[in-house]
Amino acid sequence: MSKEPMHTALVSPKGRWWERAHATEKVWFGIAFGWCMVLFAMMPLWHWKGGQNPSGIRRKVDPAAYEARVQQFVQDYKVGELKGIPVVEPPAGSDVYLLGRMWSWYPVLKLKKGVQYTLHLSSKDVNHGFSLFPVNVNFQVVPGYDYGLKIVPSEAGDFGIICNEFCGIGHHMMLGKVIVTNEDGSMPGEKTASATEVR
Amino acid sequence: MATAEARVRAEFEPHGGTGIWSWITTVDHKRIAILYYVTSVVFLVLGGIEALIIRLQLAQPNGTVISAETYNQLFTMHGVTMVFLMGMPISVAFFNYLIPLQIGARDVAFPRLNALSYWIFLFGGIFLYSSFLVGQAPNGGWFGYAPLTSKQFTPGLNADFYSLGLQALGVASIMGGVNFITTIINMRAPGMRLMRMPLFTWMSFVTSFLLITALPVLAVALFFLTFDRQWGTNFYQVAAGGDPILWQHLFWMFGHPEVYILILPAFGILSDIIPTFSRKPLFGYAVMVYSGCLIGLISWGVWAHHMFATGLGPIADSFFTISTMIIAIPTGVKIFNWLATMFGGQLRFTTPMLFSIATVGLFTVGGISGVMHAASPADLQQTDTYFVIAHFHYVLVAGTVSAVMAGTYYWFPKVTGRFMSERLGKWNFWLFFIGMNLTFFPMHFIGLLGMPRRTFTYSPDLHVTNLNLSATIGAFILAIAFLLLIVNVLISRRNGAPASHNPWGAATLEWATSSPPPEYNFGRIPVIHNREPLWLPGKEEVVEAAQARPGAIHMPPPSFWPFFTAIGIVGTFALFLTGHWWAPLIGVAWTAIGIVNWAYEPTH
Repeated sequence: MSKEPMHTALVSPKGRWWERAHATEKVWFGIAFGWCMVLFAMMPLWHWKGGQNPSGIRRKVDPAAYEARVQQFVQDYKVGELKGIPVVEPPAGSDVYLLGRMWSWYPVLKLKKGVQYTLHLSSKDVNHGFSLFPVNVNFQVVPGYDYGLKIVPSEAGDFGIICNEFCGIGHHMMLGKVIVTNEDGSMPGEKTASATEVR
Repeated sequence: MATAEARVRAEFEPHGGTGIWSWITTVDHKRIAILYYVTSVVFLVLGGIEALIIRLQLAQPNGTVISAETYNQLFTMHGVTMVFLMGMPISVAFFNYLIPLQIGARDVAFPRLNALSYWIFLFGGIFLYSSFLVGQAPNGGWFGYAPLTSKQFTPGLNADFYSLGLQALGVASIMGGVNFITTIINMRAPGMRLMRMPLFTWMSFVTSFLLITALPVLAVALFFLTFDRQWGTNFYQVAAGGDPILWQHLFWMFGHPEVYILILPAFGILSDIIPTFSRKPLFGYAVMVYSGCLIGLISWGVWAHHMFATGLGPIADSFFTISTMIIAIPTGVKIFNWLATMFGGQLRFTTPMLFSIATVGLFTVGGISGVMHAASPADLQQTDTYFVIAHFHYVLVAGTVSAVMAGTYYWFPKVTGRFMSERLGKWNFWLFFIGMNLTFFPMHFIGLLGMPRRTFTYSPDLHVTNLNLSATIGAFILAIAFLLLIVNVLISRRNGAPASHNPWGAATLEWATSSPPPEYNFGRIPVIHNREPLWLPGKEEVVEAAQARPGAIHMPPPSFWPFFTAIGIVGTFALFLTGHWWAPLIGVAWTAIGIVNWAYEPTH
């Protein structure tokens, strides 16, 4: 055994044990800090100037009550049927209800271009994901929560809804549809419709 | 004199020989590290095979290679395997081997606890994989979002294997974290101040804190799930007033620190390799340490960026956007410091250095796409698409796995006393580099074109067929690269060129002792005076002390009880599958027997 004095790391060292930051390091700190501030400023800017955060409000809801509300909504405004799913055309500016369930979207919505709706999303069973195709916008649809979004359809045509949150064995075939008509209620030309067609 | 020498020699004989029993009872941190490494590579192969089957299925639209149910099981097990059975334990393999060597200790603080961690990890992994034997592997994703994992929607054993298996693995990780923290705080050589420790040990230190703070959160989430499934509680049951969002918060509160648990050891590996092959001390050592600590700290405040799409509201969205962007700053600091270390250095392009340089570049690709998701409005377009898959594979494959390959080539001479083949190494590197980019780069576009994750087929109308085919071809090239690594290890183990104690001319303490190191690591514990003990004046004394003929050293004797206790702990969780309330008590009793024997085991 050697006879060296035992230093342990638990005793704090004497004197100035740290080293001063190098000049280059200080410059580097400055750049990093400045960049932090830029990023920090971007967030409120994005929110207030850019208007890029979704306007959604999430409220708790009983899944059974929500489903009943959707049924009432379908009963009130049903205008047709598409592959066994009712097509619903609510009045402009009203509350619109969409239900995600294993494994379909219910009902098919028919909306008018340029009019503001409040879109309500909720699920009957497990988490689903509302993804509007081909716009690529995602909102998670959670059972027990009513996700209310203010939307203004800006383009007429057929839009697919893809389920974007893994929901079990039928996840890949959980597809829905939103139809957006022109302001006068007419459908746009064939071209748009076929370009956004979803299986 | 002669008898004293004989007594001393007897003390140094490796405990228990080299047979299988010696591996089962070993408490030597170096052998446990090898066990960890080999087991992780086996799981890497299994997870890789799962990935290849997934890629085969997705090579063409409307693929018919496997069924949707099989697909769900495979992608879930791929994720679980790569995170819990490969990524974490392979880092722990490096922790185990290197921390005691880098700080000048003879073993970790709790050698038997270390062995227990390993055996729990092994049995936990076997338990998870045994689910394939009954055809009920976990199928709810590695993230296991409630309420899909509830009894109502997953009536089979799938989610039980998931929750109980991960619970067991979490126990192992927490014990590992405690062990490494204690080792680093208490067992450093004289003069090995915190700010003189090699960066790898520093990053392991930060990672260990994340392990002991993040894994308990997962444990809570999993206990709730287990309670829901076994005893009908309502933590995640919506109809009964439970909240599925609770799972997401808990899971990601664990899940985001977890990301840094996977990547910080890789940062440490790079920070040790790059100075060696640049012949320059690490640029901005202190800032590298602080940025690592900051990453660890901030990683606790970013979890909800996984949940932007659930509608947290603008204030929470803004907060988590800011915090996520801020965490990119210490990460960026690291990238620039590695570049600055290489700048003006005398670069040697050995295989470990090639892997390290590639890691710096490719990880940055993943880092930048990470900042893109951080902006919550952009995230709403990217979340749950292949874009996210591209992002985290750039981080984890090009970051963690690539760094681990670099580390393997770098420290192999220390472990075996032989070099790995450089020629095979170059092939390995280029195949990895090409395969990795060919697989994951197209996924950025696949995602932006709108292909959702976790779907087992896609329609030709999405126009992603060629991109998917490229990803599949890349995956197979990547598989060949991993195969070459394994072949190289197997060949070089016996036939590699012999290596000296410091074959790369590195600066850190582990290179002072002989290759391979003796069981007691250092003949005499060297006294450390600076950060680069093998570069700066005084290096002769350090090497001489490390390789000195030892005085009387007491090393912990082998023990069977960690192995025995691990069976009990994993068995307790496994027996929940029987559905009988008393069955787990058998495992508890077994564990108790193990612990009592452990406690009264003689330590001489």
